[in-house]
Amino acid sequence: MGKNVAGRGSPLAAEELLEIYFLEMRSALLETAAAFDRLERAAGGERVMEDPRVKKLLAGCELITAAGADRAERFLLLFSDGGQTVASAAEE
Amino acid sequence: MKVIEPHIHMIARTTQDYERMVRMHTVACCEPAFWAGYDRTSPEAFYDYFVHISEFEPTRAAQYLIQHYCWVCINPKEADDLVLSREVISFIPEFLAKPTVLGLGEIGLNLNTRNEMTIFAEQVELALQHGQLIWIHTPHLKDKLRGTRMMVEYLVGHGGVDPEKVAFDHCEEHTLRMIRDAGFWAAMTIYPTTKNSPARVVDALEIYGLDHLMVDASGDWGPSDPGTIHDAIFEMRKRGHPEEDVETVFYNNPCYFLGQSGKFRPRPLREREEAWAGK
Ligand SMILES: [Zn+2]
Repeated sequence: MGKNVAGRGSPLAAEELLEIYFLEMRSALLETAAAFDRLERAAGGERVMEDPRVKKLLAGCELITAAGADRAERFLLLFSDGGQTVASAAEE
Repeated sequence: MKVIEPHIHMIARTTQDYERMVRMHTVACCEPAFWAGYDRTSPEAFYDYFVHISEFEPTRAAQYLIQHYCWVCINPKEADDLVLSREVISFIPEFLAKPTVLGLGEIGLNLNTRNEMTIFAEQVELALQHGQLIWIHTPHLKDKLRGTRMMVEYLVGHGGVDPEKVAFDHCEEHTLRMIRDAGFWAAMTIYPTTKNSPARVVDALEIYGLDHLMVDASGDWGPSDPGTIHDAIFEMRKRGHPEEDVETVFYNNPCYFLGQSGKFRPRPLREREEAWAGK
């Protein structure tokens, strides 16, 4: 059983999950690498690498290399506007 | 195994999708009222839309032995216009009386504006006055976290809302916990580029357990597919989960939530405490 908060965790062991997901993970990362290359090669490539969205994507790449089994949540938080309360958000 | 699709916009789908759904053992589907892909030009356009989803879609679905239910509301993408919204709200009670209308939905926020929040609150009151269930749309992408928090805080602070009667949809890793901690139902939508994927949905079930969770495919007029709920079923089986648990997520859980409206006819196959404990 993997670590979990309240659920019953994964019936499969990590090794078995790796069998299922290895190629998918490899492919998702490869597509991301190739997409960065595509941007960088095109006209304006150097400039676009400074675009805040690209910076965020690069920060996301760094984030997934850090330890801790809450990468997906941290990734989404990175791409979220800050968590204000009702009152302060209504001011905008 | 029978399957319930808790959130799908069949108005945007072809008859062939009903055909595919029935082949994949979908017995019931629910259609929340939402944006049409363009802004409607009058309250009458909403009136006609509600007639379509409460009268015509059930007959189209019935040809495939699928029970079609719907929710009515002024959706968050068009709720910034207070005058239009209130005109639409004025005829919602007429539709709440119809035999396949389950409640107010999908109400919520889009850009998290003050007007959207005002109309959200007014529709929550309407639901409470009429004893209706509530189905909530949480915003997309970067606005989701803040919008979800605004609505959770509002409903908890309200004091008169029973969280068992409210479902938040389009939940992801960063919003699930706050919704569940407050006792609401949470649905996850498979819509790969902007929302969730079958594998991540199964991750959430492993992390949180089976209680108060639903999964939907969200077929609409964008790139989407009613088949994705069945991809999630396959994913859950592939990951070694027992068949009874798969059935609880994709059939019993929608029955537990939607069955609180006396109009929803499918019945769960087990008591919910037993199903959620995995015994
Ligand atoms: Zn929807």
